[in-house]
Amino acid sequence: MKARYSFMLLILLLTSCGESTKKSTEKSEKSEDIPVEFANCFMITHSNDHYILTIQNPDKKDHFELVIGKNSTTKNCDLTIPTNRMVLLSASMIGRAALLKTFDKVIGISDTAFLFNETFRSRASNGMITSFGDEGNFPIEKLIKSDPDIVMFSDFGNEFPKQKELKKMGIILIPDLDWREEHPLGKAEWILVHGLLTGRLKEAQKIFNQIKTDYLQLTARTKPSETRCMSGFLYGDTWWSPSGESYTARLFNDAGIKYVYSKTNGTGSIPRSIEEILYDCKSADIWFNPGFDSKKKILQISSKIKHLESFKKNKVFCYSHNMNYFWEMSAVEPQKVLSDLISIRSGDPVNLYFYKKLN
Amino acid sequence: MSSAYKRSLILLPITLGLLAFTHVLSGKFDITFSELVSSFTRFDPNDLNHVIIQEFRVPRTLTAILAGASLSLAGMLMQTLFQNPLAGPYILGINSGAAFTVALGTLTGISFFQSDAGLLGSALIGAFIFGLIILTFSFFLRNIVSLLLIGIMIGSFTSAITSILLSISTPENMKIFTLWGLGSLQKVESGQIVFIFISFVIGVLLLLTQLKGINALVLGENAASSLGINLRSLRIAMISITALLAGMVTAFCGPISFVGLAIPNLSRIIFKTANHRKLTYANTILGAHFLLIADLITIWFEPIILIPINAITALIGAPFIMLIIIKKLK
Repeated sequence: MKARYSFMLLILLLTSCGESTKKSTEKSEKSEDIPVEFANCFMITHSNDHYILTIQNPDKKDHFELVIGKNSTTKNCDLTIPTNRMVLLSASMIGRAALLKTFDKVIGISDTAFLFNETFRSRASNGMITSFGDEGNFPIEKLIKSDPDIVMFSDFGNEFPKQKELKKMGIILIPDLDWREEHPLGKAEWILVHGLLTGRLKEAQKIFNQIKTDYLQLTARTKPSETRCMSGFLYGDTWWSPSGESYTARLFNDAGIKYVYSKTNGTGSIPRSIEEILYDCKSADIWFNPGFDSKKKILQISSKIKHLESFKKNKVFCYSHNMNYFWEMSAVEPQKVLSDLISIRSGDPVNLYFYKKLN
Repeated sequence: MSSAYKRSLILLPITLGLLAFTHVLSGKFDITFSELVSSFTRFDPNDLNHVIIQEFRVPRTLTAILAGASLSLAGMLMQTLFQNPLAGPYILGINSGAAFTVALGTLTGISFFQSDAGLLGSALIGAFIFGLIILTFSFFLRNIVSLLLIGIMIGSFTSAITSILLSISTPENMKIFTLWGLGSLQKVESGQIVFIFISFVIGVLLLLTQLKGINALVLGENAASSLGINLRSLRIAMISITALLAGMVTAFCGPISFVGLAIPNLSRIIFKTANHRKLTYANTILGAHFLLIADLITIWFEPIILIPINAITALIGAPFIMLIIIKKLK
C-alpha cells in the first residue's frame, strides 16, 4: 500500500501544475492520508480545516485535485462540504448515494427511467431529480439552470462538454474513475468520495469496512474449484470478454471459478471471433453475463451459440434479476456479486441478489 | 461474344470455386479436406469440426457469395435505371429504407418482426418504398449529382428517425437493432441461407425477363419507348428487383456498403460492354468474388485484429469510387 501511495505522490509531484497545486503544496505540511486500501485512482488527505481529493486517471499525465473546506470559514478552498446539489451521471454513483442515504442531495442524473432505488424513483416522479441524458449530448443550459454544486461524470478520457465555461460559473466537475479500478473492493471504495463530498465520510468508511469484511470473509471461505466459466457476448462479429486482469475476472477468481481468459493481459475487454469462442469456451461449465434475460433472445442474435456446453446444459446466468438494480448497486456492493457467483458455482444457486438463470 | 467474356465464363467460376474452398477451410479450427468431405457425406453432430463446417463455415461462405452477387446486381440495376455510375442501393437510400422499416419492426417489440419472415418482410417493404421514392424524385431531377444528393438526404433522414426511435425504445430492443445494424456475414444461419438463395434466384429470374427493356434503356428513354418498351412498368420492375435483392441481404446481414456501387463499375470496366445479359453474369460472379475476398481478409486478420466486413468493403470500394469520380470530372 505504501508503494502505491509513493507512486501516486511521485506522479503528483511530477505533474502538478496550476493554482490548486499551489494550494495543496501550501497545505500539505500538516496533512494526513485517509486510508484508501483497494482503490488506485483516488486519494484523500486531510488537515485541520480541509480535505484534498486527488483523482488520477492512469491514462493521463495531469491529475484532478479538489481542495474541500470542512466548513464555511475555510479559506482558499474549491468547495465547502456538505455539498447539497449533486448531479451524478452514472448508475454506480447513484448506488453509492443510495447506500449512504443522501437522497436529498441528488438533483440530477442521466436518466430517471433507469432508476432502481425506490426513494430516488419517488423523488424523480415528484420532479425533484432531473434527467440530463448522456455526456455525448449533454444539455448544458439545462444543467446551468438546475444550479448544481458539483457534477460527477465518468472520465472515459474525453473532456466534459464546456468544462472551462462551467468551471467559471462555479460548477465543479469531478471525474469518476471507479470503472478503472481492478479490484472489486476498489470500485466499492469510491463510496468514500461520495461520503467526503456529502459530509458523511465517517459513515462511508463504516459502510465500506463492512463491505470489505463481508467480501474478504467470503473469499477466505471459498476454495478454488475446477469449475470453468466464460463471459461476455457477441456484438456484430466480435465477442467481447473481460480481460484476465479485469474487475470481472478478479470476481471469478475470488469466487474460486476458473475463467477461460484468466491468462490474458489487460483490465478491459478482449475481442474474439465466434469461432474462437467456440474453440476456447465450448467446454466451459458456466456462461456469465450474456447481457440478455432469456436464451430465446440470445438465439435470436446468433443460433450458433447453441453449441456451447453451458448453453446446452442450461448454465447461463445474467444479472437480469433486475438489470437496473445490478448497474446501480453491483459496483458498491461487490460482496453480493461475489456471493451470487459462489452460489452459482456450487451448482445449487439460492438467494441470488443480482443473477438469474436464463431459461 | 468477346474473347475476354468467353474466357471469363470458364475462368471466373473456377477462381470463385477456389476462393470458396479457401474460405471454407480458413478460420480458428484446423479443418482438413477429408473432414470437409465427411461433414457432407457422414455428418456427425458430436464432431465439433463437422459442426463448424456445416453451421459456421459453409453458411458464411454461401452468404458472402449470395450477398456479393445480389448487391452487385442491385447496384447494376440502379446505375442503369438512373443512368448514373455512382448510383447504388446504399447511396440512394434503399438500404437505409430497409434498415428503417426493420428498426420500426424491431423496436415495436412484436416478436413477428424479430423472426426471419418478419425481418425479411419489413426489409423488403422498406427497400421497395424508398426505391419508389427515389424513382419519383428521378422524374423531376435530371441532374445526376442532385439525385445522388437526394438519396444521401433520404438516408440521413431515415437514420435520424431511426435514432429517435432508438432513443425511446427499450434497452433490449435497442440492443437487438444495434447488433443487427453492425452488418455481418457470420450471423446468417443455415436455415436463413434458403431464404437468401430463393430470393436471389427469384431476383435473377425476374431480371432476366426484363433484359430486353433494360438493354433498350441504355440507349435512352426515347429510344426505349420507340422500341415499344413500357417505361413505367420497366422502372417499377427494376425497383422491385433491386428491393428484393438489396432488401434480402440487408435483412439478414445488416447494411453492407460499397459492393453495389463498386462492382457494377468494375464489371463495365473489365467486360467493356453495356449488354446486360453479360453484365448480369459479370456482376454476379465479380460481386461474389469481392465479398468472399473481403471476408477472407477479415478471417486472415482475426489472430491480430477483428475487422468488420463493412470496413474492408469500404477500404477497397471507396478509393475505387473516388477514382471513378476523378475520371468523370476530367
